[in-house]
Amino acid sequence: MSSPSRQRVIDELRDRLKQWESPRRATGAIVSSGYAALDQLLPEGGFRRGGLVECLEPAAGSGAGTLALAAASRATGQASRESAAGAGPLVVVDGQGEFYPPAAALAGVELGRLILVEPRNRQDQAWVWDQALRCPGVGAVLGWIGNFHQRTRRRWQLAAEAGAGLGLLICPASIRDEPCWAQVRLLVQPLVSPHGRRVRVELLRAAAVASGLTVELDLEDETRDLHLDSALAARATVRRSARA
Amino acid sequence: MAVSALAEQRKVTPGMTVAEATSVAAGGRRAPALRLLPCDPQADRAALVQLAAACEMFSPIVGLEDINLKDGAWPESLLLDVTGLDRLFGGEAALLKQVAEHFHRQRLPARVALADTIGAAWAVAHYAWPEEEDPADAAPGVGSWRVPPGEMSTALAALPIESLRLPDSLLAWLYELGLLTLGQLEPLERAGIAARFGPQLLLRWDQALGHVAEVIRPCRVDTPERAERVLESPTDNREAIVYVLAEQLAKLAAALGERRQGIARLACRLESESKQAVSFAIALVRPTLNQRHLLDLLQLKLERLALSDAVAGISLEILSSAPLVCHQQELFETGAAAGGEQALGQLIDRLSSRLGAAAVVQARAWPDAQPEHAWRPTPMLGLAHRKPRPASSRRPPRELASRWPVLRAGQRPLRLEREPVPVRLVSIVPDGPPISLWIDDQEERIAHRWGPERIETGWWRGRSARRDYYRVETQSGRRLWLFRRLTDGRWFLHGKFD
Repeated sequence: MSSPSRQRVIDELRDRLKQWESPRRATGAIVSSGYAALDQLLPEGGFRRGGLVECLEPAAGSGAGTLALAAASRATGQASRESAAGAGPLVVVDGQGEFYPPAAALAGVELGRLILVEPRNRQDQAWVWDQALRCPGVGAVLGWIGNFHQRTRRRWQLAAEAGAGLGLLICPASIRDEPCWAQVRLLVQPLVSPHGRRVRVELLRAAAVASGLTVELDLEDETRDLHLDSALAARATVRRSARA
Repeated sequence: MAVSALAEQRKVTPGMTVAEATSVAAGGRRAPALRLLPCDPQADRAALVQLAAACEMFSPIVGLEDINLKDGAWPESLLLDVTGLDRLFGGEAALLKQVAEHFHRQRLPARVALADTIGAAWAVAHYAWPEEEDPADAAPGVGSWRVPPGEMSTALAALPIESLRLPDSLLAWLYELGLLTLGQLEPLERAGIAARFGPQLLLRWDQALGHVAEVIRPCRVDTPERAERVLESPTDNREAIVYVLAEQLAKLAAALGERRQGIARLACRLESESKQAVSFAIALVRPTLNQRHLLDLLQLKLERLALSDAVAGISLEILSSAPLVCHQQELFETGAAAGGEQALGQLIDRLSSRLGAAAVVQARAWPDAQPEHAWRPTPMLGLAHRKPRPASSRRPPRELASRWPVLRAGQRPLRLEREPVPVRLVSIVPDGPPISLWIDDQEERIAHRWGPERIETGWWRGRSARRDYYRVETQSGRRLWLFRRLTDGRWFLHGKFD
């Protein structure tokens, strides 16, 4: 086989594999991540309802939960009064029994619109995720998960497509090389910063986008706004245009 | 939440913390301990239905105030239709006396009123002052009143405006305008009232005066509340058991459907040949007759049940039912649309059925300085039926922020350890701020720290907590919440700012 035709076959196979691997074409609305700079990095300008978002963190305390919570509050219509109508509540699946509601309340989440579920074991945890994602009355599902089998995560993706909510999974960074069924996989790495909170977010996977894009962000404790540094903003813009 | 008359005398009021109520009730004396019972609206309702059943000795039509309720409130009044029955009891006054004595014998404080309309009787029973000659007024909150036929306007004139069963928002408006009694309402033009306050005020006023009819719907009808089947041959085949459960469920649903009632709690009993029985119960966020959903919940329980013997008898019993048409409070103030709301209710039923009610909760902010006690879980099951607190004690949605105005986002960790974890830590000076710590078997230098934030709890809580909290950022960028216990200087990891 000549080299160009071989390359064409490989490309075709890659496309077909990508189609199998990718979630069905989602039709849900786009929800902001809560941070304008991150939205710029995402191919659709935010997260699409009816899908999963994986936030990977190297260790607990890295800031992935704060990032996911901001998106969850948008998906449950808590960021603005207009979008609150019709949006379901936030379900937090807390397998470790460590979720601390007062912190979420201080971050602007209404406790009256949050359902906390504490499954007792991994089997129950997987079932709760499936049920909550599948429910059309739920706006978003958030939780810290361990290393679940990819078959289970695939099932969750299908459940999210059926329920049209947003699933936000906070996972250990050790799964970064495993197959991904989520619409977006992010790696959140904490940075040392005496002022505010700083994280580096790397886009590991998003539909039809090359991986490896990164952006460094200041996550300010008081406002929960992420600001893109001007220099970094320029860098992100350059990278996006380079992809086009 | 409610308190008994005795507890009220000892200055215990709804909304107090357990610690505060216990302390206030004890009053520094050797008084009997305060008895605390969990709030169970379903059980309250079941007890009220039992009282209604007992009152059928006075009237064939006894109902709860369900359909006449203010928004979201839980019924607490019984309505008896005694039209033409007074002669059987020797007159209206004698009938009233017998009803009052009936409750008095059960040591239940009751306010009993007899009037031409439901609205007038409700108003008088809730807001009239006890008559001096009434022997029952010796006990607080107890009394009986009779409004003579045709004298409702006079009887109602002195009563406060809230006796019309109006929503709190409308009442607040009326207070602002100085409309405090029903007597003030009478001279006003009807057209003006309707234009300014909407139709509800006039409707309630007309219902109280008898211009608009209001009916009492009996809350108890003689229908089977239990379905049972003995199997010809015992079986451990789960599919067969589910088939029989579906059959029994259909029977119960058909009986309840006739009186527009839904199942709120259902018990299942599986009996073996040796009469060994396994029982379980399911509860629902809101009453339903959806057999598929009910069967689904029963199956979830059944899946986790270990059956040692073959099942020979299967029975279902309705522990609690409620009207399907009653106003149902939304789970969330601004929440999912109708279809989503229903799906959400079913999700909560399913999760609670498999994991237990205590595992599916709503968090409530709690005014306690100790971080692990700063919130309380409330099971979602039954939350939709919970009686709301009076408007005066309601808090805005962002209640935590209003309770702890000094706290800002990011000052509490998103993940709190179940128990503080002792950590090895280095400080330059004794009792000084931390310099480095060992976490995950590694030493991590602390790059930045914020604190201390001193948290101390009151001595009256028994085991007090005295801690200096630090938010720290390690050299790898992780943010942790540490505290030094002031009593012995030991360091603990309490949370992670994830």
